[in-house]
Amino acid sequence: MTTHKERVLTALNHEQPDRVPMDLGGRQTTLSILAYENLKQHLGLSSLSTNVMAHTWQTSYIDDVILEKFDIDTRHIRPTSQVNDTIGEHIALPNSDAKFVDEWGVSRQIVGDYANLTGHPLQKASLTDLDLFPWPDPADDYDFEGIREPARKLYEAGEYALVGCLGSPGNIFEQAWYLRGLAEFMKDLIKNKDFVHALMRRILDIRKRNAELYLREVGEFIDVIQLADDLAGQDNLLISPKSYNELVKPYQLELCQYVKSLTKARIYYHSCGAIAPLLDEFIDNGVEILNPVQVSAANMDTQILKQRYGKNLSFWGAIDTFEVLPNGHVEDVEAEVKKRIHDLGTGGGYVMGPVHNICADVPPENVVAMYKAGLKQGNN
Amino acid sequence: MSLDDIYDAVLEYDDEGISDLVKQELDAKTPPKAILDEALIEALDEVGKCFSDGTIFVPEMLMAAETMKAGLDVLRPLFLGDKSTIIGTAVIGSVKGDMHDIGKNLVAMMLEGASFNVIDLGVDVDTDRFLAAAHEHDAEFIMMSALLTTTMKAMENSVRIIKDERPDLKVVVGGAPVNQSFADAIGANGYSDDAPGAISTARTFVKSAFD
Repeated sequence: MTTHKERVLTALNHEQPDRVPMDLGGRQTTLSILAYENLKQHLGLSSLSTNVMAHTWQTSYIDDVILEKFDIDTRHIRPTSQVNDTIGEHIALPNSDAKFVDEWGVSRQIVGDYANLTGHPLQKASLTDLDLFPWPDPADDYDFEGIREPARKLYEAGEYALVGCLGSPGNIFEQAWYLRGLAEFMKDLIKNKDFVHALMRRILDIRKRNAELYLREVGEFIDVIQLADDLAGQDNLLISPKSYNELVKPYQLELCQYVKSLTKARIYYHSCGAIAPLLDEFIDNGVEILNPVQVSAANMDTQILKQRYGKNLSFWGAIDTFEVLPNGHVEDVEAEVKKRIHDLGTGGGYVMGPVHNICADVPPENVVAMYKAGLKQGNN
Repeated sequence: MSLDDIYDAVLEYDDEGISDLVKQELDAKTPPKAILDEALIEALDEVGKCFSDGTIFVPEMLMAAETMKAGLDVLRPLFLGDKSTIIGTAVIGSVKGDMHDIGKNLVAMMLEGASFNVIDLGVDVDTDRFLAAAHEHDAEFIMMSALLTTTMKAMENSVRIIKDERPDLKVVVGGAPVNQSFADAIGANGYSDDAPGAISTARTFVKSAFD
């Protein structure tokens, strides 16, 4: 009898597992608070409590009862935020229009089931202002010690593949423009490169400290470690490959190598959008798993991706949250699951899940249909 | 010294040098309209083409638009009161519930560069504000942007109400999740999948209005 963990590791070793492994409940692979409420109701499980994963993204943890029901193969090891985020007790409720400032000083406002960025503390900053900025310390933001015991227990039980999340996404480029404002930072990439390097270095150092604090506790237990940094839009990269190589890659490479020095876990890297032109660079950085495989973006044809990069990369996600899950019928969802398993899962190298956090526009029937189809069609 | 230098300055993102180049060209008695049409707008068209082709990216596009704007700032006082240089008025904004503005800003900057009078309402704009601004500024069209699948509904509502109350106004929609079939389905007059295309669309509407 294959365990969930063996199933995931087999797939990540590029060998054919007994069925496609399935993921739910992690950073970028979970449900929004509103979508989770809908799903609980649909499953007759409204009495389960809702615990906020990240109020900045309005996401929810998924109860073990539901993970078991769907036969999910992963469990996520995420340090809890030091803020009490239990729904009903915190300002950051869906549809609340609440405004808050995150640990970096970036202003956010909740609209619907999404928290938008509304203010950027370094928008007008000069190089010397970076010395004066109150940089956050990850030790203040997350409870790292508290995850060691639960992670050790899960590891010793050996049932599930354990996916690590630093607490932060480990993003450097994105964090830079959150702080600076997107338009301003985009212009910096051309006219203000010294500032870009200085800002990226500051953020990298904080990410490295975050990685060290996290991996010191659970690095020995986890199988996969997630990093994320969005670099592409719907049709193309946000920045040129040349800008990436000059101004972003050195920092991502250093973070990946640092993480690798602290854990044997495979590096899972998330970037939304039409990211195909950078995949060789990610492989060079040490990335082994690509998420989310945004199939609705340009040049993200799953057959071609598998053919070109399948030897070096495993794929994680790929079930379309853009059109199929929100607007499709159950049969469309089944066809989507079948296609992605066929394209990406042949010979292993694929863990099935939604392209992104499932928002409230996805009917709960389709969430259930996705995982049922994975069980049914993912069999060897 | 020639219009080519101004054209090149836009393509080389020389936002600091372009003002002087434009001033020198004016000193040489080149008509402002020629500087606008033959240097700035031509350069912006070229940049837009490269962006649509995928050979330049958002940073380059933003810097080019910024450079063009710096050049335009020198010319603008010369055009004040001369309505003939303004080819149309557009009200632009991200729809209700949407706080994203980079795509919308790009379109606004390029529109302005292409001689449109642009009333930018920012983000999270409800239908009434679109309508009120269109009325106040006597706009020919409204351009709205949505970045999220979840705010497409707000776009649909706004377009429906605007077309209902002001059938004469042209509405152009855009943003990552929006496509031509969605634009058609909600009754928008125009759609483009990128900023340069939005400017071309705007131009066709103005052209047809003056034909």
